[in-house]
Amino acid sequence: MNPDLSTIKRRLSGSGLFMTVGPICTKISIKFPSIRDEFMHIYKGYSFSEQPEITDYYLDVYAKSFYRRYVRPQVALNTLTRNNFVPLPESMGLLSVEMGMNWQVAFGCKTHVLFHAGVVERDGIGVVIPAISGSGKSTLSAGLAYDGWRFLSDEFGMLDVDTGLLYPYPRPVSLKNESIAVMKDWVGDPEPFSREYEGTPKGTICYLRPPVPSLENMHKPVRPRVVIHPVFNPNAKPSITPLTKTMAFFRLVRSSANYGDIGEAAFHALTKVAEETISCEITYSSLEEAIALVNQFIDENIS
Amino acid sequence: MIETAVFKVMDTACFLWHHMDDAHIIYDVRSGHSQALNDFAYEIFEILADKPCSLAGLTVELEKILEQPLGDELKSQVKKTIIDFDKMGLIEPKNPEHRE
Amino acid sequence: MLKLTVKDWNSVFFAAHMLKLRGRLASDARENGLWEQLPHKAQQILTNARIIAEARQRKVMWEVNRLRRALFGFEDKVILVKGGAYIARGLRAAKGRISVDIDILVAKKNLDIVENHLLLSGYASQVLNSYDQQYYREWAHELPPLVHPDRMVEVDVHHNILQVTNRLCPNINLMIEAAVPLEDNIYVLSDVDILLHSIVHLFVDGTIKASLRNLLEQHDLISEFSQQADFWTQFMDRAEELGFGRPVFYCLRYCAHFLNTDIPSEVMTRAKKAAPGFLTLKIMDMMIFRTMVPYGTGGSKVTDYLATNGLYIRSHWLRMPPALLAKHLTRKFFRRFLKS
Repeated sequence: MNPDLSTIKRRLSGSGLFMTVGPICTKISIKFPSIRDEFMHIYKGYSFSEQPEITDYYLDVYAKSFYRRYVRPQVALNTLTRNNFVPLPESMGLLSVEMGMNWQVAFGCKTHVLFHAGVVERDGIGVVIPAISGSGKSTLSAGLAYDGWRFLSDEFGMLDVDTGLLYPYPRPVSLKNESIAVMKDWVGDPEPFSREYEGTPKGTICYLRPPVPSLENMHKPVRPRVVIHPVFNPNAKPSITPLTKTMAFFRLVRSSANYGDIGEAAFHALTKVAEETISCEITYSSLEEAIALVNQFIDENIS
Repeated sequence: MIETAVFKVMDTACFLWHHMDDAHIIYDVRSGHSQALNDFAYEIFEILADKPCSLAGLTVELEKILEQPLGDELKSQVKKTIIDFDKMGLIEPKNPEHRE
Repeated sequence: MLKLTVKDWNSVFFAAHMLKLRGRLASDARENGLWEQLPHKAQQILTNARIIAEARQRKVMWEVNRLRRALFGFEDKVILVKGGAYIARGLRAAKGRISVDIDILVAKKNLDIVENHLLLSGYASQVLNSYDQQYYREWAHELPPLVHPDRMVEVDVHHNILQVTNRLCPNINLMIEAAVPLEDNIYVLSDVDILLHSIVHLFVDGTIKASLRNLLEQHDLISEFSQQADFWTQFMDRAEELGFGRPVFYCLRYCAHFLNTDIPSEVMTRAKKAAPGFLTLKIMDMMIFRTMVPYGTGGSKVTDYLATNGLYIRSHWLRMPPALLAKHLTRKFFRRFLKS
């Protein structure tokens, strides 16, 4: 049972609030009212608790000094693993929260093979969308999520090495630059969006909360069946290029943040994924096109 | 050194294999690294795993298998493979000349 | 471990994190047969810690493998010390240990040869500043750290276990002679020397911040090595021969106090001969007791801070004659000042 809004606010500003997303529990406190409000908006409907839970990560968003708090507000971040993040101005607030959580997962999580990938599901078919930045991975996973698919994750695909299943970690989608307008148009409702943060190192950033059913199913795993590597090219004709198993394997290795650390178990898990999934590269010039290609590839190859 | 040294595979138990349709994936439990070997490289590795071999000895073995002399291009391919294997730590030179 | 509440778990994990002992906790929990009964969430956190430690150890051992390859043809001893040696020997002290770099010991006459082998194999010096290069070569007991760009593991090549200017600096040739072979030209120190080296590092050299972890390392080494019948005699003889009576006394005293290490009473009596005067011992006790407590869990933070830094100053003072120390600190200070 989630605590009420005023309790959430009080715990966030004080001793900390426990938030569980998929397999990970983070204790969060935020000392800036503006960032707190933005946080509560984008994480509306997530699972919170004021009762202590065994905690994976700690995130403390605070001002370095009294001067920094009131005169030229700067946000500092403290996590257990690292506390020398470059402070961000208060206006970029939510960015620091997301950055801090991503950093801790990327370096701390070893129970699952992490892919830098979006993960979505349709009819029990798990689809992994690994990609380099700029390929439209986030836009494609968010686009599918708001087209009736279940959204599992945008930043981190999590594969359990024992069961070979993908576990959801449905944090807000981080949209960049041109894709923000595309998604606002696609979703049609401004409510699940954060405000737009301009002038970040990656340009303009806007966060999008995943659809409610995806959040409700955040503990339900899915078997990976398809891997899709999107390539955005505004001038290209839409195309699908199948990948060999070996190529599929090494692309998964390359997109994984912790393959090298997990070692042997990750080798077995990824060869299994490469054997049991079908992989392709799709080239597209618009979101509609990309979604049509994904559906086409699945319908043609999976009965 | 590459021309004269005898190379060996230290311990075949260190390597896990997964044979795909188009390549042989090798996982080295010592380094945690994964590499893909094509059929030709795989053959070279197998010969060295069987018994330590110099570059010249390796050429003889391969010529036996292929039932024809190796051309210059293949010869340099063999040499490059040996250098790569050594760099990856899959093989290493045996007994320096002045020991033994 | 089974009776812990959620709050207890969080503070155990917190303290273990601060003391860099999470990996050790993970390894112990599995060996004690408690694993299956732990809360799922605790298992998950401990599994993360175990995999991180294993990955670091694999990295370290792979670097040792690459070092052995780089030193192919070098005919003398390359002695693996500290974490690398514990891991290579599979000692209990390596359990869950997060080792980040590799330390090797070679005879001083071989320093240049070894450095050349490594540079030819693609290792590069991490210290490019000529003042620091000069400092290392003149005063340190090691080469400036070397790193291979493909692997990014720091390799420190030592020619002694302490700085040559240190009052306690031993006749290192005795230790090198007693080293035992591991694989090809890679060696490790003898058991008694491994323990002495660890002791000297905690009670003479470097900072004392994570000292519970270090003390645990010595406890593990003692417990494991003292299974051999003549260990204690060999150990005490060696300590006296190398002039390490005082640090050995401290180690045995605090191991017995904090970790209940099994030390025969005649050994303790013999070690006490090297004990300091009453007042020095009192001060040392006070400082040690403070630093054993993890940060921020009760007690005054200021006194904790002073104790930690007091010990650091003390060990730094031991490393170099005072005038030299002043000179070094000033240079460092001014360079930092100019940068800001």
